Formats: sequence, C-alpha cells, structure tokens
Amino acid sequence: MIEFHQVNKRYESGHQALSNLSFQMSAKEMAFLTGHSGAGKSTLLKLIALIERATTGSVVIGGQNLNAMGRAHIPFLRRSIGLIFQDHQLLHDRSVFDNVALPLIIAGMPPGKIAPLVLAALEKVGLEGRDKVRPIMLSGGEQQRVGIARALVGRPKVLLADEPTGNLDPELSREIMQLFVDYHLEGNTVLIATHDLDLVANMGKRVLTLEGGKLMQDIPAVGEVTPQAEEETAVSYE
Amino acid sequence: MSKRPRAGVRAAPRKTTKRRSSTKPTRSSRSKPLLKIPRERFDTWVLRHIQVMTGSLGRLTKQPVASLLTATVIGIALALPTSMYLLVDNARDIVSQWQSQGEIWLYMKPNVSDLRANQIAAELEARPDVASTRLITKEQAKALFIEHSNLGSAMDLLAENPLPAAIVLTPSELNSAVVDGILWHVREMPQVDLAKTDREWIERLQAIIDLARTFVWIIILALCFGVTIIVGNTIRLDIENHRQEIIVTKLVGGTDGFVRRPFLYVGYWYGLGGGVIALIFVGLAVAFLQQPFNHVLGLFESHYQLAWLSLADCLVLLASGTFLGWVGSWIGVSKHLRDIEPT
Ligand SMILES: Nc1ncnc2c1ncn2[C@@H]1O[C@H](COP(=O)(O)OP(=O)(O)O)[C@@H](O)[C@H]1O
Ligand SMILES: [Mg+2]
Repeated sequence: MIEFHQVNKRYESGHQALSNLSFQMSAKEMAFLTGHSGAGKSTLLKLIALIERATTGSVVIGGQNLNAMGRAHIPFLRRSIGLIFQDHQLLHDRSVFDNVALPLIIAGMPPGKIAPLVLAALEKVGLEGRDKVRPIMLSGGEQQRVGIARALVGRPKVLLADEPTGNLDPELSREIMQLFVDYHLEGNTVLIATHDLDLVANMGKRVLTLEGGKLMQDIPAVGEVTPQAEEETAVSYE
Repeated sequence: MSKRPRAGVRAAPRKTTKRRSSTKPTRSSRSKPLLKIPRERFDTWVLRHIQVMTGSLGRLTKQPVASLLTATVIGIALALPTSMYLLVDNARDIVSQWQSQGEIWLYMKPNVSDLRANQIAAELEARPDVASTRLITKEQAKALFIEHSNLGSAMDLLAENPLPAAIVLTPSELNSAVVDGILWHVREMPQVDLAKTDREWIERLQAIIDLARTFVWIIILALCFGVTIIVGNTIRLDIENHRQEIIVTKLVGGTDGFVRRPFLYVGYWYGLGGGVIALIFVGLAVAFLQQPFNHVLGLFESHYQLAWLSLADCLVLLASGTFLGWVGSWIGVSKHLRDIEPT
C-alpha cells in the first residue's frame, strides 16, 4: 500500500530531511514511525499525502506513483488518506460537527447521510454530545480527538497520524492508540509517527526508526517477520 | 452538468441479476479503489451551491460595516457612469426632438444695398426649391440689433450703419438635400457674405453629445476595470483572512473548485450589492434633478421629462455589477488561492 523507493527529500532551505529511504507497508499493516525530533517523521508522512514532494526517488501509494500525480489529482489522493496532525488543524469558527463533516461534504456526500456518520465518529473518540460546541471550548486532548474523528469519518484506506498523543496524558494516549489498532484490525493501513517510545514498545507492532533522515531500524511486529526487515537494517551509514 | 447522473435512475438493472456474475468487470488490481473519483449527485451539488451562496452572504453580514462600505464603493463606481450615461441619453433625446425651423439666413456683403438685396430675394423666390423669402433691410437689422442687445447706444456713435441687409429664405421642402442644394447655390453668389441654417447648430450639438457619449463609454470601461480591481483586492484580503480554512480544506481533499466557490460567491454578492446601491444612487439623483431639470426645459418651451432608467437598463446595471463582481473575485482567487498550500 505504501512504498518508498530510495526517496530523498531536500527542502528549499537546502536541508536534507530524508536520505535514500526505502521501505514498504502492505495493505492492512500497522506501523509506528519513531525517531528524535527533526529525524524526518513528519516529512515522511507529508510525502505520502503529497503535502511535500520527494526530491528524488519515488513514493507509491496504492499502486500509484505520486511523482506522476498532477496537482488536480491530489485532492482525491487525500480523500483516501486520513490525516491526523499534531497541531489538530481544526477550523475554530465552526462547530465540532462541521469540522468532522468537512471531508464528507467535500466528497459530495448527500447531507442526509452525513449526520449519522459524524455522530458515530464522535462517539468513537469519546466526544458524544460535544458536536455543537466550538473546538476552542475543548481541551487540547479533546481537540486532538476531533481531529481523529475527522480523519476516520470518511473511512479512508490509509490512516496517517503525526504525534497524535503529543498532548495527551498516558491513560488517554493508550485509549487513542487502541482506536488506531481497532481501525487497523478493520482492514486498513495505519502509520503513526511518535516519539513516545514507551507507548510503542507495549503495542507489539512494526516500528520504523528514523535518524537524521535515514531509516536506522525496522523492527517487525511481534510474531511476524517482514521480508524487508533484514534488508533495511543493513542500510549503511553512508 | 448534463454529465452528472440523475438521482433515481439506478433501479432498472434489477432483472439482470443472473448475468451479473459473468459480466463482472475485471478490475485492474489495487490502484482503483484508492483513487476512485466519486461523482457527486446532482441534487447534492445544487444544494451545496445554495449553501455556499447563502453561507457567503452570511459571512458578509457578520461584518456589516466593512461589507457595506465595499459594496458602496462599488455602487458609486457603477452609479457615476450610469448617471452620466443617463444624462447624455436624455440630452440626445432632447436635441433629436428639436425641430429645425428650416430657415436659411443669407447675410449680404456690406456694399450690397437694400434695393439690390430685394432684387436678389425676388430672384431666389423664383427658384422651385424656395418657398418664400423675407428681406431684412439694413435699417431693420439695426432696429433688431438695438432691441436684442444693450449695445444700442453704441450704435448711435457710429456715423454709418455697419449692419448688412439679410434675406431669410424658407425652402420648399425641409429635407437636407433641398437645403444643401440651396446653400450650395447661394454660397456661390458674389453678393452673399454668409449663409447659415439653424440645422447646423443642431448638428453641432449632436456631434458634441456623440463625443460625450464616447467619453462616457470610456469612463464606463475604466470604472468597470476599477470595480474588478476593488473586488479582486477585497477577495485577496478575504482569502488572507481565511488562510487556515483554505489549508484545512485542501488537507482533507478539497479541490481547487471547492475552495474557490465561497470566494466567488462573495464577489458575486459584492457585485450584486454594488449594483443595487448604484440603482438607489441613480434613482435619488434623478429624483432630485427632475424638478430643476424640467424647469430649465420649460424655459425652452420643451415638454420633455427627464427619463428614468428603463427596466432593461436597471437589469443591465444589476447584471453588470454581478458579472464584474464575479470577474473580480475570479481574478483575485486565481491569483492568490494557489499560493496557499498546506506545508
Ligand atoms: N518546510 C521546511 N523547510 C525547511 N526545512 C524543514 C521544513 N520542514 C522540516 N524541515 C527540517 O527537516 C528536518 C525534519 O523535519 P521533520 O520531518 O519535521 O522531523 P520530525 O517530524 O521527525 O521532528 C528538520 O531538521 C526540520 O528542521
Ligand atoms: Mg514532526
């Protein structure tokens, strides 16, 4: 579902955020992306959603090479990917309901079908009854969950989350992680960037570790051995 | 729009269930389900447009003063050329109603005596294209001059009457070919100093009005340009104020068209609002001017009434306002929306 082939990403500032990065995730796989701040985790997720483009190499999503994807097709790529952002990216002049409904409205869903889906998504993240308030009235953790509901409401095949538990207490973090695991078990691809190593360790999922834009480690999920695992741990230090 | 599937035409293939399994298309593996582009239902599409339209109006009413100011500026920019157009149009109507008296005035050279002038008048009257002639002798000319100017006493200081004799000639027909024929003939005569018709004044006035009309059109074009710039710039600021909304919409898969829509409708409302305000301004101006205008015309013994904009003119004004608002926002949007991308 997600394939990176010798991807390099150099920002216009000249900073090399990702170097010769290769890995693959099959459909219905779940993985964590870890590494220190500045390791390139966010950059990697941005390449998948075409928020940034690879400088060289290729990113292939669902069999589509993103290098060949024109500007006009980006919205449709993004509709098939649920994105969760560290800074929530909510609209503060609209209700929680309208925020979560946005992807469905954009996709042209008839209004009658939208409400039940939105309310179900809010219930899933534990925000039932908060649909009419503005996000600004919510705590950081609750806002994060609004963002998660918005990412899940369209039932995308791929779910990407950038530090989704950054602002949450450990208890809530585990609940949110469980939500992602559930979504993964429903047959979707889930990739979560986080620096919360303790949390990751307990989950028993595949862990990709970035350091200075390079893939340093690819630990397979407990009880599984991915074919790429050996290949990628052998990546040299340049 | 015709491409969009109509709701409710899908029920038909029920009977063909037997064949369904055999004719199942072989999908080309994995790229399809991820990147399918679902078609929006037509009724949903219409509903969303109405929602965006009313939503953008709601957005404008949230800042009533700012919105009204912008619409007023647009209104003034539209009202200015409209009232000029109205004025010139009225003037044209008035002038076209002025009937030429059809008289031709022949001023004799100063050395032509009254007697000689009388002979010439008789000769001219014999022409088939001349209906009648009337002689104004040097003395009569002097009397007229004293009567119609307050320089009469100055005339007494002159030893000799400096005014020439004149012949007022009425053509047999009031068409310009006849008048031109007479003019051509009399201007060749050695005794005639000057031949004039009142028709020339009307033609000159008309030429001036036509020039004014052209000028008004140039102003109309310039102010149309101005309106699109006003709207474009307002939309630019509007886009800047909705930066976050644009970014979020693009992040969750909003197309350029979807993001553009509310801004286009804002421009549409500005244009329509400006058109309505322009109509009010022009209406007020006409209402205030009607009295003095008719008074002035009354002095010229004209029964002409200052005309309002016709219904068609009003519709054209509203439609142009709306169109210009739309164009302005389109320019603003296409220039600035692309720059806002999530990072
Ligand atoms: N838009 C950008 N322009 C220039 N440099 C950037 C940009 N975004 C990120 N970087 C740099 O790229 C590196 C990787 O950033 P990022 O992917 O955000 O790391 P992480 O998410 O792992 O903290 C950092 O050194 C960061 O400063
Ligand atoms: Mg980051």
